[in-house]
Amino acid sequence: MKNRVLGKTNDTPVFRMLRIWQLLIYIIISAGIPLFARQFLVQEPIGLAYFSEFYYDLRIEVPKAIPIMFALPAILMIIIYFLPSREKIFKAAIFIQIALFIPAVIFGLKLWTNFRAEEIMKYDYLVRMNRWNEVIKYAEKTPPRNNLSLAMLNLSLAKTGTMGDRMFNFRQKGTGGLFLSFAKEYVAPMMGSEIYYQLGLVNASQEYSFESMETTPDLGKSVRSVKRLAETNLINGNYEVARKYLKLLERTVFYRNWAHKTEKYLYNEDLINNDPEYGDKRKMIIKKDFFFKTEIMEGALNMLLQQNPKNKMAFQYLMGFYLINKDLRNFMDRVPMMNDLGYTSIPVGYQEAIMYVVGLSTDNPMEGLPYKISSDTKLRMQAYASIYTTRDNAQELLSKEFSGTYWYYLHYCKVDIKNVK
Amino acid sequence: MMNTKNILLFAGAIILASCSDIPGHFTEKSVSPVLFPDIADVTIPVNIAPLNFRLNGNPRKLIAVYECEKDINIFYGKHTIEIPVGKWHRMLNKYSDKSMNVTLFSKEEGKWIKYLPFKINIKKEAIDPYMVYRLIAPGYESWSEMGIYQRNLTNFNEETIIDNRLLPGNCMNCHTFNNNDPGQMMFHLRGNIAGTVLVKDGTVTKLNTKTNETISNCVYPYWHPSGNYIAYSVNAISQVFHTTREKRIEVMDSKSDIVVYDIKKNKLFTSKLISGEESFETFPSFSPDGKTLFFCSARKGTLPDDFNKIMYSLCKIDFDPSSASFGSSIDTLISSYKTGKSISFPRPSHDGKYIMFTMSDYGNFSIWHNEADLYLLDLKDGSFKRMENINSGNAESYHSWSSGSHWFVFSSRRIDGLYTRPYFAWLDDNGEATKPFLLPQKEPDFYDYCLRSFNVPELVTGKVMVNGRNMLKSIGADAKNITFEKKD
Repeated sequence: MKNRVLGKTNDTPVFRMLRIWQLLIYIIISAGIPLFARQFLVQEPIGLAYFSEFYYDLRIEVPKAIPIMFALPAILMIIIYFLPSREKIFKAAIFIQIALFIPAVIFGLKLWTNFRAEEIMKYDYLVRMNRWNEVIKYAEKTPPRNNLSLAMLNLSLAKTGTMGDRMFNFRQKGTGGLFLSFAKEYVAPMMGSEIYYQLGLVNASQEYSFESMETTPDLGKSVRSVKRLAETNLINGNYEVARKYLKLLERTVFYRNWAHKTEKYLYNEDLINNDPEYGDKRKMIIKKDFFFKTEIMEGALNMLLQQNPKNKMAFQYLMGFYLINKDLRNFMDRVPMMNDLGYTSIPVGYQEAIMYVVGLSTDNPMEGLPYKISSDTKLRMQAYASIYTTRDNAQELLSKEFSGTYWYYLHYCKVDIKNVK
Repeated sequence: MMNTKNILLFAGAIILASCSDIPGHFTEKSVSPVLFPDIADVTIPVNIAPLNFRLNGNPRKLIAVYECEKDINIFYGKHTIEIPVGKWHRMLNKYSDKSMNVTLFSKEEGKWIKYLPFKINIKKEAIDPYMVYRLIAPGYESWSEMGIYQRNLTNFNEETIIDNRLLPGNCMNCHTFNNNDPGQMMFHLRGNIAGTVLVKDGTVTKLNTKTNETISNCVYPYWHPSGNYIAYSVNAISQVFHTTREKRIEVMDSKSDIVVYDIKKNKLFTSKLISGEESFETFPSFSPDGKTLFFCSARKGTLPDDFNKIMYSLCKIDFDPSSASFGSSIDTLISSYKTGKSISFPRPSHDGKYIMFTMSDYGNFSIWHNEADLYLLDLKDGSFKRMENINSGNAESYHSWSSGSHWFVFSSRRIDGLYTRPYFAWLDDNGEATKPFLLPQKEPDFYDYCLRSFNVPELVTGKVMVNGRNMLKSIGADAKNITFEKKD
């Protein structure tokens, strides 16, 4: 406003010329510097030369907000130029601003905030922090909507040893909710990495972390991936690679302390072997090689169990895999393995599956096993069977009381069944 | 009485004097300093960039004394010694074909320590002044930042030839040059603008090298010295991932043949001898006279089950460039049946004396094989040997000769077992290599924080003048299809 007043008082041809020259110089500088940088400093597409904020951090995708932000000062200047004198409209302008701002915020929140994604991120965050019970509690309030959050829930159930009991209390959607197959983006591989890490498939966890790191947007790197890579290399005894990642983390604010602490593990076999987390993974480590891919998870889990019959995580996942696939023959074949895994009773979900098999068979598949089916399961099975066999609207009735049972899943849930090899 | 200004000047002079002197009191340690990179007793070309280094441990101050004959040059640092490029080159030029003695003093816990001195041997013969390489993370299926770059070996300047900032989502690989000539280059692009980019005689052409008759696009290349042909392998490549801690990735071919591209006639041709159904042929290379085609060959197997049973022998076949025809038989130079190992990357020296190659336990993608080492075949008497001074406990793989056939660069994972770095060494007239040195960087900590591998280092005699932006027009255009002809 001041300039406009000044402009009026010095409205001579010389001043007018000056302003035009100034304007031209500004335009040349603003248009020329990115072009100059592009020509002599950084190879980049022309659009990025203008819209990247940092020469060293080029964006592959430019968010819409950036061109808007760039244009905003110019737009505001034009608006102000055409507005009448500021003093007159000052009060009214404040009210108009507030009146526009509040609906704009609400509109923006509704339009751009993805609350579904927020849910998935919460599952992921809780898993990342190893807050397994909180994941389950959260799932009770906000059931998983897709395979990403379902996989995080199933992992938490397995980590708390309750997968066999509670898995079918939540809507299962196929084996995609157990293992996350590779996707070329950065969140899903990191979630997949968590699953394989906990199962003892350290190389697979490493692969998924690396993929996540390489698919981080705008050619960035993620400290979470780097941290996991430091851990997997430590477990695998690749200490120099682990050291490299730890050195990187030492340069961060939030991971510095962790990196310093973890550096003590380098080349210290005893410290690693006695660590509750890394030592546990070392015990599960695979000795007989096989090639990994998510399509052969059944084989991978069987190999894990064959090499380490105490791997309870692998057992829970394998049983979960068979149950989800409605493959009761393979499921029953592996029930005796519970003997070696320290089970004192049969998990409820397994009891339900066994009772179903008992109902179909003339033999007693539980013969010789030290476990018993609880009377509660037997009673519930009778109640379920009486509705299932006698009522026309059985599904509707059963969904009220029995939707969390394996029987209900078996009869009414349609999922993609994997061919079991 | 001295005024304040004089006192300050006097104090400054004392500090300066005390800094620039070799310490008067020190403890002599009878151990060699642990340096990164390890430059102790290496042999270097007269034109190489300064060998900056750091002393591992926790030094407070460093003094490095470089002595040759009666000259002394002293450099200072905190925990690194970083020598100005100009001063370094003046030293090397002065002392070429001589050795410098380097003595390192380190101030640790308030006391000066003198380490055992080491030598740096300077060869008068220069190395080709540029190196072209790809930088890519040693990953699985995805990649973030990737590109082909050129580094001026006489200083620390690196320039981009092409990268995926310019071509988002695309992959670029297999850059290669004819006889180290920066004006004759080719590389492949994979992705939505796929093709083989050929730079020759100042023009850039994009080729579609897939024909109905061949297994795949052209893959591993080697220029014919005439500049009229490029030999390629065509491969059906797949990769699988190991689950044990010792191994990560296995890259394998389930089929492969060799073809030759006639640049003038724009056609591929081959012979049944190098494109048979019963064998896998790959990694072609021409002899310097252009009359022999070397390649690796293995009896075919079923993959991935036989992944560790496929072993490649080193073979050769005659090639007549005037008629673009092959000889009638194949000679096996080194048989995998005899060695029980597998050969990859046969690269003849420009003087025709040797072939340097990589040998690993099985397969052909040696960079993922810790046991992979470099070997040297003497073409005169057919003997070959492991290059003892060159190899480490980790993978040594790709390699490229400098024009003079004494200097060479090779890829090694010796630092951490994962990230590939380029090393250089000198091969003397008896075929013995000197202790290799790592590509010098201005900051010795560079490699600690570099998350990409130096892939396919190729030495060139000058700067590649064409860059990605200038090539964009050709890259964006439709690729020129090529034809195929099979010869008996």
